[in-house]
Amino acid sequence: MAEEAPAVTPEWRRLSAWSIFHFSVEAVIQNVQAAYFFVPATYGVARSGFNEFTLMIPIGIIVVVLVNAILNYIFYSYRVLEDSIQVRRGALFKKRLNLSFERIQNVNLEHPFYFRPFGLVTLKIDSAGSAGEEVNVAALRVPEAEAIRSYVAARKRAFGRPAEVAHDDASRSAADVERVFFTRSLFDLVIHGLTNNRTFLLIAGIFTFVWQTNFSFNRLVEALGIDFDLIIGGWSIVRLTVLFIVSFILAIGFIALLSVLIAIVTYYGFTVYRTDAALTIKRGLLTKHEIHVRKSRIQTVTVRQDWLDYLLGRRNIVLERISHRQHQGDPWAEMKRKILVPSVKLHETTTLTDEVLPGCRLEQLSFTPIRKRYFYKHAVIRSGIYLLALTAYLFIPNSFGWFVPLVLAIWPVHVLSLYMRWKRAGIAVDGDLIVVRSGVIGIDYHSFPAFKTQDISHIQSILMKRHNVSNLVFHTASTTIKIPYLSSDVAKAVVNYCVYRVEATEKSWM
Amino acid sequence: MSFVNVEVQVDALPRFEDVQFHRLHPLYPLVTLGVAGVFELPIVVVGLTLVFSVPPLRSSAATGPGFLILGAVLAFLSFVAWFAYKSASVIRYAVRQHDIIVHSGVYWKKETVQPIRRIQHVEQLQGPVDKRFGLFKLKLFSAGTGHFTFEIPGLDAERAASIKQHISNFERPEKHDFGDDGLGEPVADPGPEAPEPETGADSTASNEQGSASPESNDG
Repeated sequence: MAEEAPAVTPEWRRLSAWSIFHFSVEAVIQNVQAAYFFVPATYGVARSGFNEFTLMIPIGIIVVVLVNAILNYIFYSYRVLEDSIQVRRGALFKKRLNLSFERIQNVNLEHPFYFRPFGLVTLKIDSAGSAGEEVNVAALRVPEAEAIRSYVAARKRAFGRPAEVAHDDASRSAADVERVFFTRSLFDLVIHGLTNNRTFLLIAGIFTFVWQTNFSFNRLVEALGIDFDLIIGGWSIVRLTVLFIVSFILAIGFIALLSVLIAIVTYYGFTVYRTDAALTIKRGLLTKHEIHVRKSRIQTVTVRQDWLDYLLGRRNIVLERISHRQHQGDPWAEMKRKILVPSVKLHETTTLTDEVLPGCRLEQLSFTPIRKRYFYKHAVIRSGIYLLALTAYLFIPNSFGWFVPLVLAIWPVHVLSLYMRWKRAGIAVDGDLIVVRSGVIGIDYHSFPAFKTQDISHIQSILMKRHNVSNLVFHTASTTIKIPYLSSDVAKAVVNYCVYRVEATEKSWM
Repeated sequence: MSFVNVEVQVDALPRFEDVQFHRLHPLYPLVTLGVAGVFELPIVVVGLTLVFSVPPLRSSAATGPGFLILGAVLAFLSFVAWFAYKSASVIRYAVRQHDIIVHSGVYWKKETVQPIRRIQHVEQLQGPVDKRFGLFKLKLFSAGTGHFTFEIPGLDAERAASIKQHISNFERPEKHDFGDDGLGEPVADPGPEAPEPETGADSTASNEQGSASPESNDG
């Protein structure tokens, strides 16, 4: 089997020199926030005439990135031993990592765009432990990477703990044959781009940094030699309004276009392959991502639907894997452990959920609603705040004329949204399945098998106790799920049932 | 394959709300109050000294609004101290065969059920003040996410040990993939760094009890 593959080498091995690409890209990605700062700064400096100095900045950055990458390449070596993989890296701060196969969770091949012309791949090995224990072996030839992967798989099977290893062709039974069962067309991705705006993240990032660096828009405009007064000074109000509306529509259009592009680049060729025990997801236009996950490792299935999704009859399905404490607040790691299936049509939902939550029919579940008190209480508190704002307005002389109509417009919308939130919220318990429903316009579902609960909290204030209502908080290994204002009797029964399922089920949650 | 589908008598399930809760060590709320007092006392002393030694402050403290502000600050400080005492004294815990339940909260009452089967490791902590009074704190870690930790403070040595024993004696039929120790500690050699420094008497002693690590049993 895989034993005869030339994977095991007691001597240390170096990477191919192409890995310098990998380390450069890695450095750029890690410092992408700094890049937000450098682009406008370089441009500003260029305009203000320090020309001999200007070129130094990008050159300096490139030199630093390259030197860092070359040092990384020189000092990186790895070897595959009988039961573990060892990595030595770091020029100044030497790091030595010994990852035993037992702890390996995932072995994936990634095909980054800069390696594809050379037929090279990056071998990504995730461990069950902490976040810093991932091994990326860059710029391997495909057969080399495949050999290591199937060797790890074979060794893990020998331990009796099958690894999550894709494409491992050794000893595969008929039930294990991978087949395509779900794809997304380009049209689906366009819809996903329109309904799920990812541009805002990018723009927000740029603005935060521009703002933090005291970057002045006025000064940039001056440096560019644009005189707004000269251009629009003589314009009438009508012309200005038209200009404003047109630029607003253009901005929206631009953002939507960018968002669609990001969606296509990220999810191009989205394909899910299945075996009886595992799913493999492939996606990506420039960098091809390949994620392989055992179905039993999925902790929570979240169905998300924005208002645009609701109108178009789409939803996103997110399969969530175990998250480590260390990953909290790290958006890259968050994205990695969540497998998002973009813009699924409503009738396609069960095709996907049946893989991880067999028999789950979201639309047919009977949900226990939360108490209407939730709506009353929040409506009264919010209305109080609006009333207070209006009252305060009466005492301020010379205040803005648009304030009262604005408050009067937002108030009912806010109350209506609270009403919708109350209407949407609910919990359903069906056999081993727990589903929490929420949302304002679109409907979100959080579903998980009861036995995958890690712990569960029953919370009520003294006031809530008097009215016999409770909040519930479930922790699974991937997420926290809250449901407010359940009737206390229901909430306690759910806790008892959930705890019973955890304690009576002998299945592993992993 | 014989398939059975026994009906679950939902009403007959064990009820977490009916368990017999235990109080913490009687000293614990007092110790908490003492700690709050030690932190607040300097504020009160420095504040009052300032008010009575600086003439403009002294004269304004005698007026109505000044007096009110002074009163409000003192009331707030006493509220903080009372709240610390109260939240320490309302904590209850219960140990069942399969889970541990902690009840806490002054206004927001919270009952958390932690199935022992899901506990990954146990930490026993003893801060400098706790050490003086022979109190321990147990932290139970599951794979649940967030900054959430499940802890039982204010235990004496005997109670802490018996809870740990109960957790580590728990029979776990399934196996985890969390490696050999399950503590999430890298197996990598520590490199040039020295091993974990010994915790002195004045620092928080955090020792991950090997005996309480559930995974050490099923390997």
